[in-house]
Amino acid sequence: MALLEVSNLKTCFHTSRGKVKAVNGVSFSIDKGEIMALVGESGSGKSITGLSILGLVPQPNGKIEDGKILFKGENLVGKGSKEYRQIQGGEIAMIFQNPLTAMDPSYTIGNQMFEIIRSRGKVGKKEARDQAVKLLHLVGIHEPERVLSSYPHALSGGMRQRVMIAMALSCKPKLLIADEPTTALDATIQKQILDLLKKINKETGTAILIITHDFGVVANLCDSVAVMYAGRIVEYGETNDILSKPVHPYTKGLMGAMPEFQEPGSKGMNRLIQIDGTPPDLIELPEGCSFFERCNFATNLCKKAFPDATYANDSGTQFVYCYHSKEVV
Amino acid sequence: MNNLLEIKHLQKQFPQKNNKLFRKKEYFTALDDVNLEIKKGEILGLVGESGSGKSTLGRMIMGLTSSSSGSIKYNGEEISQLTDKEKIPYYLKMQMIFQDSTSSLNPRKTIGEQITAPMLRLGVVSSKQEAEKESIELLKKVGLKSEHIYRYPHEFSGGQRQRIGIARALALKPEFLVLDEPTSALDVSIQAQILNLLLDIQEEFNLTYLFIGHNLSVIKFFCHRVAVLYKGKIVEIAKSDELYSKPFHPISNMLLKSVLKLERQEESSNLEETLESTDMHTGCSFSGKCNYASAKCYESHPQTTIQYYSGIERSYACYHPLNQETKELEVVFP
Repeated sequence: MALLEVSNLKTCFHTSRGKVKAVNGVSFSIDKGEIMALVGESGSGKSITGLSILGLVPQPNGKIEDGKILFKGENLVGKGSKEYRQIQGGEIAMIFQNPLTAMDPSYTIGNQMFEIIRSRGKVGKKEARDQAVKLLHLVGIHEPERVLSSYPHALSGGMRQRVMIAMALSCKPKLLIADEPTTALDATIQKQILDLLKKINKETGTAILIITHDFGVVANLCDSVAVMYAGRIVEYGETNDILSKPVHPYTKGLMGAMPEFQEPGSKGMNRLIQIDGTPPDLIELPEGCSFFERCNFATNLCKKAFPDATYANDSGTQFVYCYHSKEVV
Repeated sequence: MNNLLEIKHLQKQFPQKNNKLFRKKEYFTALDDVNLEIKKGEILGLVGESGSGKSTLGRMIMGLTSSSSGSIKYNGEEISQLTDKEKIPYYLKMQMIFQDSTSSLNPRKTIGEQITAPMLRLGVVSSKQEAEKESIELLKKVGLKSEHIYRYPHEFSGGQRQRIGIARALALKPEFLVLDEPTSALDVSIQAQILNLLLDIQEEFNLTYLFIGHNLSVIKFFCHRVAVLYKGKIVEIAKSDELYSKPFHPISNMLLKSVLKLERQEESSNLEETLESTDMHTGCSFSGKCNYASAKCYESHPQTTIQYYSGIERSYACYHPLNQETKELEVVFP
């Protein structure tokens, strides 16, 4: 049994302009100890998918309209906030893009960590301190005592993200949702944080759902990838398969837009491949494929209905929602 | 080619907070002895970790932050000690594009008002009508529509706002632009659009760019030459493809290693991070982390060495440079 199974999840926001379908029928599953990535542009619904799993959809406008979220076989959709409290931060933990806003600026790191550790079960003050020191060691902080007595603003961005990860790990979660954990960090620190997440995954067996728009992060860390566009998953597969043979035009465009993909020495072609236009309005989604307007392969068929999933390889591990996936390769 | 911008021995010190009345003021040195030249029509990249002083340098060139000592020459004229009034003619020649497009635009003014304001203020155009016509032209140039001039910043997406920032910077027809991480807040797909746009504009108007960033793969794609900054000191300057194939300085090497490739890489051995130590020794600021450091590195900071390799200048400041197997290099000490 998969650790987490999301099926046909639909999360909407009611606004004065109409219903925004932020997540529009997303299905995927994560096994124990797996690292999976949700990739997409901003506004594609990846963060809302993460928040939906944790029951943190912004209130009062947001609502899960349909679908199931099975965590260890138990459906989380429709749970009361008291019941959910046991899962939030306990079984499933989340780390955010900006650790500074996720911490309380007026308490020391120590105070904040002890509070979390002591909130679950009977833990004495001294024991809590020992656990916090151990956690900070685990995330690669050299002088835990000094960090415990300092305030969030006194730490560097990379340090803060490490503390954030330590806090998330304090209740030994089975699943860690990381929402763009390295986007705000610079390149050298980014690599360290990714290696740290990999190490934690190996040592504690925590499954990780990582939300990102950077294929570099995916390549370095993840076992499988789901590419999202306008609230839907458009391609899913194992990292190696997707990176070597993307079959959805959007995945291909996203990868082509990365400067890393520019062949060394190809100075003649001195422009990046770009996906023209912008994502569609999530209130008035087109009936057919949502990528229709920006796609080079689009035909009349694409306009009519959203394509069904087709397998892109023989083993059936990679699938794609596109009529023209054979032409893309 | 002549130098458009020449920076010599530039230093910036920020006073540190000090609660004691008679204690001598302490300073934090953000930039230390920076020497840099930017040629006309060139795109120079400036890379470094966060806190290395990249943005401070960009702001000092623009006159937004004053310098402590040293000189900045634009077209041969000293611009680092100008009064606010004297700076005005230089705003016609140099402009800046900021990382955070949201906070650099006025939320209470329409896009049209914000683009025409500098034109009218500095007298590039004679009338309001002309300014409006110009701003529509500019918006079209950066890929926006003419009706957008009546809209407010919050009505646009991040990529569109960055385009507005570019249009506003171009309003005065500058010849030099400082780009302070123009794409680091954007998605990869939008980043590609903006980088391509900046390249188009650079070719069309023959502009000179100083591109500040920390993403080395963007810099490699975008820039002709790269300067690597570490804790306020420039440690290496080289042509961008040379820096990538053969970094001389261990810092450049470290930055290059941190670029995420699309293949799985070996994990870095150093997973630990220590708090910033405040005690400074006189030597190279990287020596504590450097694998190649010797006793010499802790004693004094290395001089900048300039090498000419088939006519192309390359400079670095290190006692133990990497990739030095080519012996026929002509070494000159300044």
